[in-house]
Amino acid sequence: MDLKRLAKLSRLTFTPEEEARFGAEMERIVAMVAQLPDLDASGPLIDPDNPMEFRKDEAEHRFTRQELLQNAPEVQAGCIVVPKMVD
Amino acid sequence: MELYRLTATELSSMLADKKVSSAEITRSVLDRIAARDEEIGAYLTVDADGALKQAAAVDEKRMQGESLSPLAGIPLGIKDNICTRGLRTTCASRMLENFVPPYNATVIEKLLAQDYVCLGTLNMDEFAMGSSTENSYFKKTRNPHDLERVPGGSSGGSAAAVAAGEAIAALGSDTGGSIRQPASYCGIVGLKPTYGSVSRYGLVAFASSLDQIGPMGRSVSDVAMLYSAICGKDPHDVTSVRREYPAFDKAINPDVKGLKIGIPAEYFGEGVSDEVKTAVMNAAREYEKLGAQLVEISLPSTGYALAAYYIIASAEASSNLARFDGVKYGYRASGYKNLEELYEKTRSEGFGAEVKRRIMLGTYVLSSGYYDAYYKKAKFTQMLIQEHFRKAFESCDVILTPTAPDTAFKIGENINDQIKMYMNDILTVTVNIAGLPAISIPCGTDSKKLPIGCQLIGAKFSEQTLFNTAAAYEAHVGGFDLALA
Amino acid sequence: MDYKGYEVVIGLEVHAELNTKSKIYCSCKNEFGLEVNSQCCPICMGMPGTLPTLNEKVVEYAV
Repeated sequence: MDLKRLAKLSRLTFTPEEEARFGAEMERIVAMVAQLPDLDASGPLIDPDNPMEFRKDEAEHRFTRQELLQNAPEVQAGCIVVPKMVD
Repeated sequence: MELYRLTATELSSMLADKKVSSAEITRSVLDRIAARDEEIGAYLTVDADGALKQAAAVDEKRMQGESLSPLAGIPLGIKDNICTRGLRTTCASRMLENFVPPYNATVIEKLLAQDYVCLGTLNMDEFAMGSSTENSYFKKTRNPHDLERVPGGSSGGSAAAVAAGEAIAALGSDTGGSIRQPASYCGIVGLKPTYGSVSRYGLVAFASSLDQIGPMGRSVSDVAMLYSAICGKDPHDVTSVRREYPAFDKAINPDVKGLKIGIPAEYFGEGVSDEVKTAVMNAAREYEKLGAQLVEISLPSTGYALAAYYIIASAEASSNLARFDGVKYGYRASGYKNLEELYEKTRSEGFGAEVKRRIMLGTYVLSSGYYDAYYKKAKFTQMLIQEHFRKAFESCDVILTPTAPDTAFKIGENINDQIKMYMNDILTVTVNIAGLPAISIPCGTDSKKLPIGCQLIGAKFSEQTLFNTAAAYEAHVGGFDLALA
Repeated sequence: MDYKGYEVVIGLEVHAELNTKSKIYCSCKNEFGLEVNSQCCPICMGMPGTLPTLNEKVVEYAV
């Protein structure tokens, strides 16, 4: 188990102590989860008893920009401020 | 008798007969919160002003002769992972410490339409991950029966509040036992509804194929009443099921003559304490006295259900929690130099250890090379488990098991033993995997006077049978004894 | 240079915006040129607790 790679994928960082502890705990849990029965897992994963209902293509306006950006950490001119990504 | 000690059913009738006002009930519960919550710690946000305003508005409606729903004017607590518009919803996480949702969960819209009174939001394990409420970023909740012990989790705040009279009833959520286990530890009634019977829109997602919002209360009738109020098809949640949902509380028939109760050997094995086994088998014998028939059944999938659960739950959780990146809402770290660091610092600082552990596990089982071996295999195991239950229900009407392997443990006792914490889930997770309904009711106490709960599991959409069966036991023992000290 | 030995391979990556009234997973207006962040809702902002609902026209066009 490549913890560094998993951390990168999960967008998480750990201190060396956390990493050591996590490593041991995750190994124990993974050992537990390796107990699954040997089943044929090649078929599709669809439940035919519960077909999904679609939404009609109709536009509806129910929220103001102000309401939606209320929780944003940093806002400027109606946009959310984030670090520069493109030079 | 103080108003905060009464059930929603009793209060509803008193309100209808104008013997009491919602304002009086709400004030009684708010006073109780003021007196006890410093010690118990069930609440994260108490909205006293809002609650009293709502209560006054309902009383006014009633005075004007408006016809109101059974829940009108009843003060309830809401688990803090259910979005309440204008009221902070934190999921007990630093990540959402100051998050105020601009919208209501569908269940909240339904309750508002029925004029409920919202007392505030209740403590939980962070993002519903845990079985003790010790994983809350903000505070620990204590079991009203013994303040040195946990109330269970993740709906620990909800269970403690109801048991202590700090809410007439409450909403919790259950992904792997998070309503039933705390209900068992705190001596109250808790229902995990059939998957799809209650809308998940507005419930901060943990494991989308397992989560359900459910009612917690002091009596079967209260839980049935609250369930009727929140169930139903919701166009916002495509996993919610379209069907007829009757008024369950009005149709309760506490008669179990001829009812076949399945007893699965696998749920009474090693790991379940002797006192718990004794209490649950005593309940089974009481059911026999009432005319039910006990049937031995076998649920062979129990052994790997826990493994399947942890794979499915962590995989779905890692996906659901990917949205927490500090960009549009929630916690944002400081001192980042670029976008990558914004994400990593925000998530590493915003999430607690248990949440990070589950995300990592989820990322692992979904990562390239492992998806088929773990996640897909777990989903097929899920189908096998559903098939086993379907077969089991051919020879019985309900299944009776203990809710938890033991009674409430001491705060801090298990938190560092992951496997022990996970074992707490073993009796409850199969039910979430199978999408079935299950109710936990009190069935005695152990030598330390701590509540023991037994669980009744039913086939999909058989909530009425569960309510009837639970009510029969409740009537037989003369009602459930509460913690209210 | 002798180009006869080379085979031309051209790839086309097409981003097709579907001509629907509402967005794919929510009922917000699917229209360009409006004020920033003015046609949003908790669903397309990915707020906690929200769930997507699939636009039937999108499926129709895709199929």
